[in-house]
Amino acid sequence: MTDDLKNLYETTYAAVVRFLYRKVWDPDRAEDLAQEVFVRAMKHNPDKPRAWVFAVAANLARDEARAAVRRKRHLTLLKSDPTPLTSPQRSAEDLIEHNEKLERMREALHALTPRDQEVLLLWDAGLSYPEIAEQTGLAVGAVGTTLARARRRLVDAFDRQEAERHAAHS
Amino acid sequence: MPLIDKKLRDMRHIPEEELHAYLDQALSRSQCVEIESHLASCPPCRQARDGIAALRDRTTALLATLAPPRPIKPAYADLRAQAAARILKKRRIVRAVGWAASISLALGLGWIANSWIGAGPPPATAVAPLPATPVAMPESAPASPVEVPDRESQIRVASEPHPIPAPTREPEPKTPDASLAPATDRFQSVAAGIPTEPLRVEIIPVQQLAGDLPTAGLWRSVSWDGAQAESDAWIPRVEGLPVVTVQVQGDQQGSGKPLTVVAQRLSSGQMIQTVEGPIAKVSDLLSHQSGPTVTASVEMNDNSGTRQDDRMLAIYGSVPIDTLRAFLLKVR
Repeated sequence: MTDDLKNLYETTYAAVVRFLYRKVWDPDRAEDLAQEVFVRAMKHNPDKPRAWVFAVAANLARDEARAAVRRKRHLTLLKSDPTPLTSPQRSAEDLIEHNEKLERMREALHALTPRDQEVLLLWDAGLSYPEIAEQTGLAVGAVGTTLARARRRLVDAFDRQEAERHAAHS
Repeated sequence: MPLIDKKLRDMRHIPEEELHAYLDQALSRSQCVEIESHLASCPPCRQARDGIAALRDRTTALLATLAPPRPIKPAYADLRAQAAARILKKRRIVRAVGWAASISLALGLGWIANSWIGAGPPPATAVAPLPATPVAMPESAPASPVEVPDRESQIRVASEPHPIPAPTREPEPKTPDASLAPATDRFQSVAAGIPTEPLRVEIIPVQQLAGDLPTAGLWRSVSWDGAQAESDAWIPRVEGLPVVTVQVQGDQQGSGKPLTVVAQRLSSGQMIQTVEGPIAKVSDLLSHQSGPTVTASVEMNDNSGTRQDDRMLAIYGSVPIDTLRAFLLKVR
């Protein structure tokens, strides 16, 4: 079990951070929470560690969101965004455009219903259909339907924003 | 209309969600075969599949833009140490709350008894069952196995505040070796001699069968004298058993006591190991052990009188748990 958890940690830590980041939008906080998730996993030694880790991550992110609302703290993507594609050579204009794209993408993700968002992010984090079903309470057969809808809506929302932006610029 | 077109039109096309599941490799082998044979003969479904594959790729690419910078993954051992420290802290809190509850209850009972009796002096028995210290070895216990070592080290065995009846379970019915019997008996007699403060030794479930010592860290086998010098003269081991090996992990530069593992042989030929060291290291080592394990926390004062926390003592070996418990009481 310990080895299972260790392997899971080695292979899944980055995915958990990414999953959390897309919920709390703060890279440092996402890492803190991911570490908290794994410390709890070590303490509880769950039977299905992978599904457990993501379930706890989702709960922590939810608590975090509630706390953020209480504190009226608004994190903006521009402030905290990682800029993984940023390089010193990138011009300021490129950087602004990149950040705007990230902001549109984030809005597109938020345009989904919470359930569609959750299923999509869990899928992207590497969970299987049965694991997603267990975590979200959906039937396994409904995961494909939800994922189909979520993907379509995400791309549609993003394209709509791109179109609006082009219209505004022209 | 050519017959082939009609056939295609009548054919049930693959639903969108099934194509998603197919591309996500979430279908059974037989379902995949069915879908693939349909795709081979149905151009519209092939087109739909290509469209969904593109949508799927695009979603993945869009989500990839929403990634944090490459996270710095802390060492697994660091997180394990945090988890171990939390477990210990929780136990301490539970113990403290238990104590507080017992004292409140006893005081409450005393008060009630007092008000029943009238204005007389409070019954002395109301608080009598609560010993003053967690280490409740009665002075009258025959040859008390826990003796405070002459240096400033003390082993504190986890104790429960609530009285539990003295163990009614018989000692191991089939003790493999006669030499183990006295130790078990002694444990029984000690436990029976403590009416209100039975010893509770935690049993750590161990899931893995592994070698004697984990590979992490550098282990050195040292002589008894060498180990004594290195560990500042106190090497926890079961008194009265021959020491076979002493293994040490940790630097010799005096930056704290190292982790020691003392292997001792019973007259039956079975081995037991006594481990003492920082909690994280001891729990890591225990996680690699199979068979029963008993643990206790250790309080230690260094020469300047400063308390060094976060150390732990454990005994393991392939002998009955009661025997290990008895040995824990004999650790010096």
